[in-house]
Amino acid sequence: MDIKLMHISKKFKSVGSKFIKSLDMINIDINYGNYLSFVGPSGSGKSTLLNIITSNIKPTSGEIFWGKYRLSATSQKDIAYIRRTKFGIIFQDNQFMNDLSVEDNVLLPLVINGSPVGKKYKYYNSLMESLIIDGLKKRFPFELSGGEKKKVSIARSLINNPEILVADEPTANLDEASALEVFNIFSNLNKLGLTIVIATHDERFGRYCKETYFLVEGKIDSFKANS
Amino acid sequence: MMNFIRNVSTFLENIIWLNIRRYRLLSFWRIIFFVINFMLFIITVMTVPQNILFYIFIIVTLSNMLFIYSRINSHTDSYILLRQLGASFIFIIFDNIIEIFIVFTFSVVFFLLLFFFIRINMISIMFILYQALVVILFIPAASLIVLINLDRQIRKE
Repeated sequence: MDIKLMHISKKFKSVGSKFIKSLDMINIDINYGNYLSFVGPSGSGKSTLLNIITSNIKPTSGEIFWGKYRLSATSQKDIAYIRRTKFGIIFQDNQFMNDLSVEDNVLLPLVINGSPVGKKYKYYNSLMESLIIDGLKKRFPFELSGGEKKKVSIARSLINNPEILVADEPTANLDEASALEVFNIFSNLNKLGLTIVIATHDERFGRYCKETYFLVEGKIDSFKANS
Repeated sequence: MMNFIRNVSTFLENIIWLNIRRYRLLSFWRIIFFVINFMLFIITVMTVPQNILFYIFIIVTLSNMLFIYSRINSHTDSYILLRQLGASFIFIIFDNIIEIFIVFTFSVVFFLLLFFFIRINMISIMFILYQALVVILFIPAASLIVLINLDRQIRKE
């Protein structure tokens, strides 16, 4: 599924009747199989842009297309359906259900999607093994380190076989070794055909991505394509 | 038609699976907490004169409402996460109802065991049935109202 953003702007209501402009006239095409990153300092609008791409928040103006679907003309029910079947999302702060074990948290998207959980155990086990976190299955989120949480979050985002992986600050609070591991996992996933969209302040991602957009104060300041 | 039935059955099966898994954390302490509460409750009903029971009804109903309100609030983060992962509104509502249903079933089983072993009187049965009705009818309704408002707020942002 290709994604197209046309003239996207987003304003947030501030104190009183004032508005803060978070994004300003963003135009981007995210083609199937691409690997791109939005790089910029805090407050540049990266996370807002990711939330708009996944339709977690609506833009103030502009149009988003998920393949043939124009989101402004698509029902909430259909948007929710497409999000849970096509997208894998990695949140900045990972976000787990703390009363569920790692295994249950990873399987959660299947439960939401209405897929029979029992039939997916084989895929789940291979996923956990490939990310080298199969020893963490019975633990709870509060028992994990930052790097382990990130890997569990990656596993959860992949359990539904998504077409697009969206990650917000995937290397935040990670040490050098764990960050490198995340870079490698993403590169390998992209080689397998997964579209990857990342928001990061970590410019090292630029080396791994096919396209890098530099955001400054809600605008695309520059663009770099890697061969 | 068969496909529809299969989908509904998987949907319910998954929600029940999710709720059973939720109770695994600290399950021993949860059960102990529940048993102690329930025993205190039954002892009160058995020992207090009947004309005071009416006031206890009101107190218990109000405390139930407070419990429901705090429970729903504590579930806000889980709700937002489920929505962000693409859960439908129906899923959230059923998830709430089934969570309550499991607690209720557990209460009924425990109550029947107590009834069998200590033979509590008819008024206690009525009292507990009344509470059960409050729980069954009121909790999904309250959850629904709070979640609809929360959903509206999230969409506005």
